[in-house]
Amino acid sequence: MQSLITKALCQIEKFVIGKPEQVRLALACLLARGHLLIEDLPGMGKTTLAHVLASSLGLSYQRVQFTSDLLPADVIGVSIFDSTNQNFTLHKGPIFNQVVLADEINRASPKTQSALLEAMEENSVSIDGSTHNLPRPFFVIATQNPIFHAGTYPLPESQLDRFMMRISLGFPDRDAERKILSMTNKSVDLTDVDACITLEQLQKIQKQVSETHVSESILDYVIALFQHTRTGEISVNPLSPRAGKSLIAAAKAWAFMENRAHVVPDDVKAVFSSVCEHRMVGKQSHMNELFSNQLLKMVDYIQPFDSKN
Amino acid sequence: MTLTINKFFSKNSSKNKLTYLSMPYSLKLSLVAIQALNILTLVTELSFWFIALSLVCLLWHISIHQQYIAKPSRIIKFFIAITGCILLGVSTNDMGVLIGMIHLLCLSYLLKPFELHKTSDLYQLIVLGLFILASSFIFNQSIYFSVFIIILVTLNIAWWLCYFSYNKNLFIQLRTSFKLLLQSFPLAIVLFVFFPKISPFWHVPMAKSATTGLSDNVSVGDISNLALSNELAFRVEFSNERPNYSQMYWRALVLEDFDGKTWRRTKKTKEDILKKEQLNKNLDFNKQPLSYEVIAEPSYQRWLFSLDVPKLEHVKQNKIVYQLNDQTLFSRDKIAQPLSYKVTSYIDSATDIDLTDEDKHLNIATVERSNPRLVVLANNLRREYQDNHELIQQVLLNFRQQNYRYTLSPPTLSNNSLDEFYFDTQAGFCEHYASSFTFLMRAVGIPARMVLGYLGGDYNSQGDYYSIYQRDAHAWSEVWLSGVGWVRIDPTAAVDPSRVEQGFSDQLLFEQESLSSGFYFDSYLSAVWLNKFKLQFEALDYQWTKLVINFSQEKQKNLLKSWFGDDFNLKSAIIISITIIMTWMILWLLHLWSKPLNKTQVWIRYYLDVHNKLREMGLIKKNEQLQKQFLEQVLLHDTNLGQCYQRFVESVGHLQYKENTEDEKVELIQIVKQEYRQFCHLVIQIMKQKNK
Repeated sequence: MQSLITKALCQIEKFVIGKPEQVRLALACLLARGHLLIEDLPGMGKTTLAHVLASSLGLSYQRVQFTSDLLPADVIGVSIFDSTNQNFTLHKGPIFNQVVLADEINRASPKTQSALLEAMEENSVSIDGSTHNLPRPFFVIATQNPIFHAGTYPLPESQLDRFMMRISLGFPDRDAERKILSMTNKSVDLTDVDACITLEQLQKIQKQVSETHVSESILDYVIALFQHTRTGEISVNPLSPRAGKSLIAAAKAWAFMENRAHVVPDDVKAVFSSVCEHRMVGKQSHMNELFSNQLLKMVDYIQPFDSKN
Repeated sequence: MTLTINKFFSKNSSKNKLTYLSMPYSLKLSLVAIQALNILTLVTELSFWFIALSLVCLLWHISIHQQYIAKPSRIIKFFIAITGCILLGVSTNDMGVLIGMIHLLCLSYLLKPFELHKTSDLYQLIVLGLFILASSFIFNQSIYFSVFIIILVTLNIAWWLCYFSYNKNLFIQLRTSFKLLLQSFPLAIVLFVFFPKISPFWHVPMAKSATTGLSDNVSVGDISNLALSNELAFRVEFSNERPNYSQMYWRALVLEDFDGKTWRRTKKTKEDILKKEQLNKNLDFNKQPLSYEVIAEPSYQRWLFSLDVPKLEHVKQNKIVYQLNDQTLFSRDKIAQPLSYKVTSYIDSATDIDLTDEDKHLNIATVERSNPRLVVLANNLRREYQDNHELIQQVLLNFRQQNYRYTLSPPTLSNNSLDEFYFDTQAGFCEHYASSFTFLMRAVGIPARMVLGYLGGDYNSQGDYYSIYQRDAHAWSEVWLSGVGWVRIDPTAAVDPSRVEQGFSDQLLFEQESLSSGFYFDSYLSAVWLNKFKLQFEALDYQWTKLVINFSQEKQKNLLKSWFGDDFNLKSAIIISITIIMTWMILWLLHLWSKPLNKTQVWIRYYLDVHNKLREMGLIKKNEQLQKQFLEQVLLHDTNLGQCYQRFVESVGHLQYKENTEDEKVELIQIVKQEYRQFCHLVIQIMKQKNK
């Protein structure tokens, strides 16, 4: 199973150059059945990552470009009167794909945003009173421009919470950039990406991930981390149990990718910043140091509760 | 406690601490507040210009923190420091060395915040603050003040904790710091009781020069000023029997030298110190003596207080307290802090049955031409009464029968003339009566002298002791009768017997109140419970003074003797202290070991130890660091060690984070143990190689 993962990773890294860490996180997010938010400047490879990820796993993929005049119906679909059959037929929207890339999600109006986010939460949509299940696996990759860009509607905290992870790609280093620039247009053709994993395999992997063992001391470690956000020691939005569940799930996926059947503190640390940073930020984000980093510094992973007293 | 302290220090040493510049604003402000409070403890000793300077400095700090103004440049700082030093240098002449040094201490404390660059600067600042708090005990040692100081110490430490901790909440840290202090309390008590009290290497210069209480030259009218003072003079605890109020004549000073206006104490030399055999000769051992302990309040004088015919109890105390041949007690040094001594008094014992001619002469000396009318009266009396007893009775009878009045506000006398008082105004205070009586006796030819002291005392039923206040100051006479010795005669008793029997009458209390401008709490203490409350507070203060402040070298020795027997010496002291320290260390080690002794948690001990060893080699694992990254670091340092470390960490990971059955766990613990031993072995080898 792990060989499949490695293969997929290799393939994705061919297209998304110089960002192995982010690629792994994105894949871990998918394996943990979470949704991914990528926040970065335009042109950093967000769309490429989403596209390659979907094709490598052999999933159906559609991209929706969010704009300020996009309506909820444009995303989920609409019933249209068919004059030949004299009835309404449902035209499914792009959301009925296994991987949906919601590009520049914060450019759309809050109404459209919430339609998508509701679908993400419930794994189903209702159109004209009838409920339609979404395909499985269902994976939303949303990209977001930094908040300070013009024409953005920032996602509220409650909706940010729906995303398991938020990652940002960042500028490539010198070697990577040289590689990107020297690539011919032909080799960047995303359409002929081979699927490395079949749907059955993916589902099997996802099941295996969820069965990864999490020991008591890992739970203690997570609880200790979360409690530090609730006692007011650092001024952040306190982390909810849902965040905790996401963190555990992501850590499990990470452990699986590290070829382990149990979670170790390193797995938690590796995903902690991506899973929790966007849920905590709120009151003060001008600090140089990430809150998640501060928290990791504070809590002793060996004796999580000893360091508190 | 040790754990908390360890944590405290390990936090200090961690490299992730905030620098002063990144200190939150509230923390900076609270530092200024704490500085102000610390300085406040010395405010009574600081001169006005310095208080103004402190305020300016504190405001300056605040405005820097508020970013109204920039930090002062080096030149300005230098200028302030130099100016302050010059001002101090100039004014130290007036203030004295001690106060000057206190000013210097405060100045450096106030200026230090301008120069906080490193953490060590901060340490200096906090230690300076604690030093200031300690030095404030030079001036005040009362229980209330001590409690205040303890609160301030707690606050200082809480701030310190705040600075180093992630948790910047002062109230939470206050709790921690209070816990810390509480934990150190037993050690403080042990040190207080057992640590040898070494006499100081140098004397702290006398802080205050203003004396309180009686003075050794008295003109008519002096004591009435004292009568308005509710200040405490001394406290007495009787060990068994308590005397009547009218018996409590506390002698302090004997005045024998009279120049017509003023009574003075004759100069005393070493020869005036009473010899032991001289004392025992006259004591009346048939009567039950009164034994008691006196705690004198600081008066910055040297005389002490006792009832009639005292005998000092402890031989060694003689070093500090002397007994003079006029049966008064005397301290070697000025009394700058509460002084306690034990006395046994043989009431009604005769003294000086054989008076030397020299003394006799001294005690009948009158000045020619002063108070001529009294001299005439004396001659008349002498002619009328041959017997001394009868004569004295007649004089007292005169006081009683004629229109003499006892008052706190007597009419002023020109030139302090006793004549004027005796014949014209006939209203006066104890001193007028004692003075004129003594003069009369001398004029008649009976040796007589003035005695100053205190009469009576307030009984505190809560603490079973007497408080004697300055308002209890009294003056009386002693006359010498051949074959009897010195006899106390209190002419005031003839005029106002209630003064002697119960203290101030209502009339006098009223007078006292109307004469004094100050607010007297006593008169408002009509409510019984309030009075009880006050008594309890005073009793508490008394116990504090008796047990804590007066815990002298002498008392420590006696206490230890009573615990460990007579042959207590330095050797046993060392043995005891070593035992205590050993017990302490054993308890500490037990505490350390007791934590990971839980069998499934045993790996934690190994894990921590391995990382401690790595830390000693300069490899520090941080909480946020991934194991993988750290492993690379170790591998870079030493490949063998890195591989060994990797094996150890892997097996620990298996033990702790994998799903294991009980059997597997036992097996894994064994493996972890093995890996740990291998690691330790390797570390020792590496160390050996290094040493070579």
